[in-house]
Amino acid sequence: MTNDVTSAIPSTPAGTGSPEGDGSPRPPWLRRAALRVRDAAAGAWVITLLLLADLVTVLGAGAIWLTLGGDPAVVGVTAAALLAFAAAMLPLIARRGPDGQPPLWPPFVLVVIPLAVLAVGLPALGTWMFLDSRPVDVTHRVALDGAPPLVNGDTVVATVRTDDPKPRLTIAFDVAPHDPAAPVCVPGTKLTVTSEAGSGRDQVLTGVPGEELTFGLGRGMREIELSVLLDAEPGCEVNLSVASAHLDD
Amino acid sequence: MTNEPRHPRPLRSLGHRCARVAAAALLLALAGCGRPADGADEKSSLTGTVYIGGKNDQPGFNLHSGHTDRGFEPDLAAYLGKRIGFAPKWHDVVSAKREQELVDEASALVIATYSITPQRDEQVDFVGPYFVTRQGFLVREDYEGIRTEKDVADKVICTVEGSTSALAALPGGATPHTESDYSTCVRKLQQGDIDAVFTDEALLYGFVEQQKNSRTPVKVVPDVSFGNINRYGIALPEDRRGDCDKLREALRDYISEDWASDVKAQLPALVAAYPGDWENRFRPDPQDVDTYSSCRP
Repeated sequence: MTNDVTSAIPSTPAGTGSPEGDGSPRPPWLRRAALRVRDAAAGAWVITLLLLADLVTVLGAGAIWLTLGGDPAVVGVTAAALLAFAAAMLPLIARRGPDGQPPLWPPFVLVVIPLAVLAVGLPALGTWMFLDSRPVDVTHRVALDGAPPLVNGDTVVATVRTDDPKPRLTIAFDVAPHDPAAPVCVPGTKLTVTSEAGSGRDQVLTGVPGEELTFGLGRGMREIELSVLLDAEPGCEVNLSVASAHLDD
Repeated sequence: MTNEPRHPRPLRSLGHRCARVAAAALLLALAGCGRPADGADEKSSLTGTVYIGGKNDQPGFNLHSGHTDRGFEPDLAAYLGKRIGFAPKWHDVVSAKREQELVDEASALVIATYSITPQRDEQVDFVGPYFVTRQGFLVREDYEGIRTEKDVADKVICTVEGSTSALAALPGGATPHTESDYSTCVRKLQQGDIDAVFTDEALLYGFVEQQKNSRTPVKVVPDVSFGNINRYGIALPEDRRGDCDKLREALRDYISEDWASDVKAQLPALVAAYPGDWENRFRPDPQDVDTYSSCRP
């Protein structure tokens, strides 16, 4: 490897503009990076272009994945891992044997491909597994069909639709007075919640407002339906809402 | 080139550091004074003579006559005063002015058949309940015009302005008539100007007892009620956590110790109306005091 590429560059002071003199100033760090890439790629343009094409293809695929609803964290981690891998490749491409020839091509390529798969795939897989293991917050996806105010004996159907089905739903309902000027009655209310679908069908849980109730759903439930029966004092009018709802494993 | 002293910066830094440490210590000390530990107030209103706003025209609960206040609420206040260490002094307040009484700090407490509501709880703090009651109808003893809930529809019903009864949904067609106090409602009932008085059952039994020997005795219509269950609370100005805690603990004990004997003494008509069942209907569970009070433990 020779240093003739860098020595061929006119010695302009850093930050004074482009050496081409096209009038558009470039940051010194960008110029240094460009020189480093050019230096590394000297004599290895085929592999560099292949790497570049690979980079563009994978980043483009990532952009399409993101547009189609891919998780930004997984896409981001994959893209970052790919960029980090490409940057790490540059010194390897630049390396030459004592005779100035690139000595590592056949064995190097054999190592590079599995390395690339591991370097990009493992962080992406790890991120996906981490995100998948976390509970999915569906609080704002729960639809209640009853119109307030609710009184003793009223039943409301709560429906959750999700694209990320999980086998367990933990939900808490909130009850607020319909008329704040009326005597306090909310602390005396109870809710009886029945699961209406899935393998946990007809599962009945009773609790007070704010208490978390957990239902087993079975696999692949994309639409969950619960009926909520209100047990309140005579004359007590309340509004029902969902305090929290999470799907998890 | 300036002729600075050899070590000016360390000396100045040392001085600044000392000042900062002193300022921090002062702030911490002030913060410690401003935030009392364990809910103790920096000033308690429940010492010496304590002014209590009450409604002194409510027989059974609070009736002022012959320079004395008699009833369940004066008994309750006497218990609390003895337990916490203050001397209750009553003065009259109408239903619609009870919040203002505390906001203006004209009274330290309001004990005036004052129902706990979320809206009132935003303006004042409550300790309670000390009494639980449904709402019913008071009619003349010889009156049979109201036997079921449907019969209320075409009647003239008196309630008190600012009370929760005035907000209760009466059946369509009933004509509401509001007065400033229940004594006036009862007088108009006896005169035949209205058909019934609508308010808390517990209050109505006080009037039944008071009027039993009058020329026009009255009665509570059995098993006819509208609206919510009312829970009476002791109201105090907001942000008196220490006083609130003292009252809450004392009230819990009162319900277990003296509540039943005071009701028997002051509201005999209520006890007679529900023999064997009056405690279940009107006595709060002592644990409810922790649930419904503004200062929950």
